[in-house]
Amino acid sequence: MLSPPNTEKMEKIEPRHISAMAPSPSQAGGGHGITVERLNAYYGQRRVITELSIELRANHVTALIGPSGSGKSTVVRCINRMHEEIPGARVEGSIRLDGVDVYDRRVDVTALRRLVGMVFQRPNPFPTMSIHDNVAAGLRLAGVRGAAVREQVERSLRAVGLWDEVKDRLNQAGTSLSGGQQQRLCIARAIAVEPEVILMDEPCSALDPLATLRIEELISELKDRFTIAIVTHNMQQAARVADSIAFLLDGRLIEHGPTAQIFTNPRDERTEQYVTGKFG
Amino acid sequence: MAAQEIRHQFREELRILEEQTLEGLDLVIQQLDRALESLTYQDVELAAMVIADDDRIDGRYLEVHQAILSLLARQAPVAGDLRVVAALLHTLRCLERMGDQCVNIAKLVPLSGHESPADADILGLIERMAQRARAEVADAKSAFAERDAGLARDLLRQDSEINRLNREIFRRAVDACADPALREWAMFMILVARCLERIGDNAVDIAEQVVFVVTGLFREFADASHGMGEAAPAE
Repeated sequence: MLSPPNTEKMEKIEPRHISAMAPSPSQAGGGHGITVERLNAYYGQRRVITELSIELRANHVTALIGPSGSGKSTVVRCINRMHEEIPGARVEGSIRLDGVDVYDRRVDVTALRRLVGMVFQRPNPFPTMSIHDNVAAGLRLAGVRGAAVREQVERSLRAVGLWDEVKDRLNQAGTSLSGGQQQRLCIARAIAVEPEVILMDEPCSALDPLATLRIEELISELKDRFTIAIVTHNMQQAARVADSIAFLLDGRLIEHGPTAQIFTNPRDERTEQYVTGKFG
Repeated sequence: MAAQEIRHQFREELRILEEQTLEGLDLVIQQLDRALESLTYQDVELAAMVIADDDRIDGRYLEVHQAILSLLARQAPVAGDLRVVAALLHTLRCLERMGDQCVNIAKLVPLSGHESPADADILGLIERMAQRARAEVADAKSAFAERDAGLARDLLRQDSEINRLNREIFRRAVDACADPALREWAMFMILVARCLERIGDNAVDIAEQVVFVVTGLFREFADASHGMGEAAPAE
């Protein structure tokens, strides 16, 4: 059983070293995949994820679907090691990013979370920071300074389609934006530090339909650069944005397949029952 | 409205659309029976009724087709439900075409003359072919309603008999053409046989959709690039 590492005395694996340690990415385009093997996650004695193995392909969007309590968000939190922040929570098994186990005792958790960005259900811009500084925060923590910060902020805001909307008010509070804009700001903040993976936990559930469609289009654009996993309760959203669908039930992976196959001819009867709305 | 209530309404709506589509096949059988009767007895008035009543089949097609599009837009069916919807759209098209074939038979009645049929053997073969076509349409309907892939696959075997009868009628009609008095009538019977053969093919098309609904895989039972009555090679 792995335990959270004592990083004080160990030689740490820095973010770029994770990629350097890993075998050359096997996917075309040099993407970064995640391999989860026999993952078990616990809250105290209660096991909530059971023997889950899944491959999140590089430069693909994988949607995790399933009823409430099936473990979708827990899986995502295990990938960027947020699960262990919860008192009494622990994991077993391995999660590899480019072949390197993220639970390796030498891995710097902070650095990992730059490589594996996360976007949450509710937009959460830093309330005391401006639009510019929200995007720049991660860069400054990584030691970037000066013009490089401004350039990367602009690149990131352009990438999420927000630059033209905010370029004349970058000094305004991030919270002055609409909900959809705030969520795009959070995505810009995540991609500014050039992660390899972006995890999204129901990123559109608090947004109006138009804002939702904009985020979905953004996801389709971002997958050329990043590996994306998205948790969603919205079946039609999963169908629109995902390349593959992973159906979870009671902490187990029931089926993982191409989106078209899951929504036209699922192999497991439980998947059929769930996507057709017979339960959930 | 609660999610489960929406799904119940959706299921009921889909059930009704399926019912309406399959009832359209009953209309086709009625039309086929009347078209053959009009041909057998040279009943021009009955033939005119068959032609006029094709509006019922066309109307059914339009109504159900529109309702299915509405269902697709509102309910976004997936998986097995989506396959049923796709199969219903295809089946609707088949039944509309089968209705048109019945009209084509009826239109030949006044053309083939008020005299008694000149060749009883050919007419006998036509009647046997019509019975086969009728049975295929009825079995296609049953296979769909019961999701019976076995019965659906059997339609290919049944249809090979229709194809055989079609070839037999053609041969006899060619022989009958040696007699100038029979020539025109024989040509019309070839056309009637062709219409019945097309009805059989449409029934097989519906059967292919049944297998698609059940298995999730679409395979043609047979295609034109292979010998008549041969099944398409398995993949």
